Amino acid sequence: MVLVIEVKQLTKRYGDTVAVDELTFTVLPGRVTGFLGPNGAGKTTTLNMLVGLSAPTRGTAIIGGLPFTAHPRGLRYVGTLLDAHAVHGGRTAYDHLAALARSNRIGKARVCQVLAEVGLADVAQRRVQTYSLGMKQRLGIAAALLGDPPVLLFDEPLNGLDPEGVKWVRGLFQGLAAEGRTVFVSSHLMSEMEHIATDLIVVGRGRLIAAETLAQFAARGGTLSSVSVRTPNPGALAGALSEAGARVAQHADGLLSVEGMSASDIGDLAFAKLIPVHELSPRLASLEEAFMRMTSDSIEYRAGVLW
Amino acid sequence: MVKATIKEPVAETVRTETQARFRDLFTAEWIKLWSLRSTAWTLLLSAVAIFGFNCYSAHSDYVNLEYFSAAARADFSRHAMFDAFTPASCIALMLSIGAIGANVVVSEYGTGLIRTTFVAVPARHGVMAAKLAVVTAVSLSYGLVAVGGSFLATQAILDGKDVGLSISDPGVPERLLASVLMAPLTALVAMAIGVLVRHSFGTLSTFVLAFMLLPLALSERLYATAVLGHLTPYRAWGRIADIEFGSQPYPWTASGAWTVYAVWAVLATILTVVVAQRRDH
Repeated sequence: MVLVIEVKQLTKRYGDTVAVDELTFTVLPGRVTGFLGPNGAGKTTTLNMLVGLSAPTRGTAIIGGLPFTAHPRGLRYVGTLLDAHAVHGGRTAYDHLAALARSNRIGKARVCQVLAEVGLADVAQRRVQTYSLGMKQRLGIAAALLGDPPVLLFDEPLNGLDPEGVKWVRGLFQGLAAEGRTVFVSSHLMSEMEHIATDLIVVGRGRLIAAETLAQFAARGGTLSSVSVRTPNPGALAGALSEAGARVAQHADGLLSVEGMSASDIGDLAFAKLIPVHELSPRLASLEEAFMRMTSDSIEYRAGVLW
Repeated sequence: MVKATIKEPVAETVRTETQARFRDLFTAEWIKLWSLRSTAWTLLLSAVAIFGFNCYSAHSDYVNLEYFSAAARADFSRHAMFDAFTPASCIALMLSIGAIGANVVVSEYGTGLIRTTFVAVPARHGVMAAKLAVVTAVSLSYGLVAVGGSFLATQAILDGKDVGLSISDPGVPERLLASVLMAPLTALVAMAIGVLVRHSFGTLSTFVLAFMLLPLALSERLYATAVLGHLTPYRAWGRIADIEFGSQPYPWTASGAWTVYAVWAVLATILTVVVAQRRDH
């Protein structure tokens, strides 16, 4: 069974606040799709609407041609990890999963199987309140895997995982996608998605910013590259570059970063104006920077400037 | 083109799923309830308290029987019923069963587990119905044991002076039934408050204030407070169990008291299912 996630004109309002604004995108099976955006961009709200936990103000969120709530039991269609803390601390991991499995008519053998798969078999009889965040993430992933579902949704699954855990999750997600499943993973860190996702959905302030493959996104990052220029006369060079149509930012140490002009053009211009240049280095923007730049207009919570 | 290939199997599985049994949901909720240690401890401790209060009361009457007035002795069956399930033990039952009923929903809302539950079972009314069924089954069984056991123990004590009642004596079964049913009624009301309030502290204080303290505060002497008081389950219990001594300027019928039980139970059940069904989580 192969299921596509289709989100169309999805909108969610809380009073005057628009949490999700006319969001439209498709998530395909057989690949890991990253759902990226700064905190407060509406990722969790979108995932909530996908699984029927909250009702859209407008628009539709459909999985496999049906709204998720059309299924009386969900685990065999969509596995979710929405919040690793959403477990009762007084229960053992085994009991937590056993109750969940039973509600969907899934046997105890499968509970033991997923516990082993996420590496919690030895601590399954321990109460969850003794778990670290990383262990709770693993328990949440185990719960998502219970029904062997064709669609998996993970909200910030890497929080609290150690590097070994991150590596494991990466392999797991890619393996699930290779089996033909639809894997949709949210994160606010591009660096996390860089090695996990093949497709990206980027949102900011509830709006779609980009929906493309990681490769396309990376290429877009390339066009955003800048050139660092060091010169004893930054004022004059900055003026000349601006006049020529480049965007110039001057750093405190006199270093200029120039956008919209190639390194060779900058060198030629400096030579023509007889301004000495001591350093001229093109910098390819990282994916993280491309992401930051694209979402910078849409950041909900920004640290204040203290000086 | 992807759609065309997937539509059939989905429709097929949805059909088989509709037949998924309610029993699975019941068992899932059963596992959840008993996998919390506090459940068994709460029931055990309150059972000890209930037996203790009742046996102490029966023992006091047994010791002091010769000091009862002739009128009181002639009407001793009411005192024997009082000992069988005292107001103190009723309060203990309400508190413990209320805590368990509330915890069944509050423990899920408080931790966010309810979201995991509703994604696993999008048919929310099924989840809530299973919770109601588990809580009702457990509290009803507990009520039977606590009330039945107390009756047997207290009447055995009173039989030492030949004043104990038998279960077949007139009026005894329905008065015991009022005490037994107090357990599931309390649990249902506590669950409904839990679904509405969702926070553990708020739920428990609302429950204690509205369900336990308010009936004690409403006086029988004024018409308005008497009527309000008669609308509370605790006072309805007192009416059916027939343990209200003292003057009753505004008397009411036992069938009226049974109606109060029924209305509270039905309203609580409907509220629990409907509120959970409608709300965003």
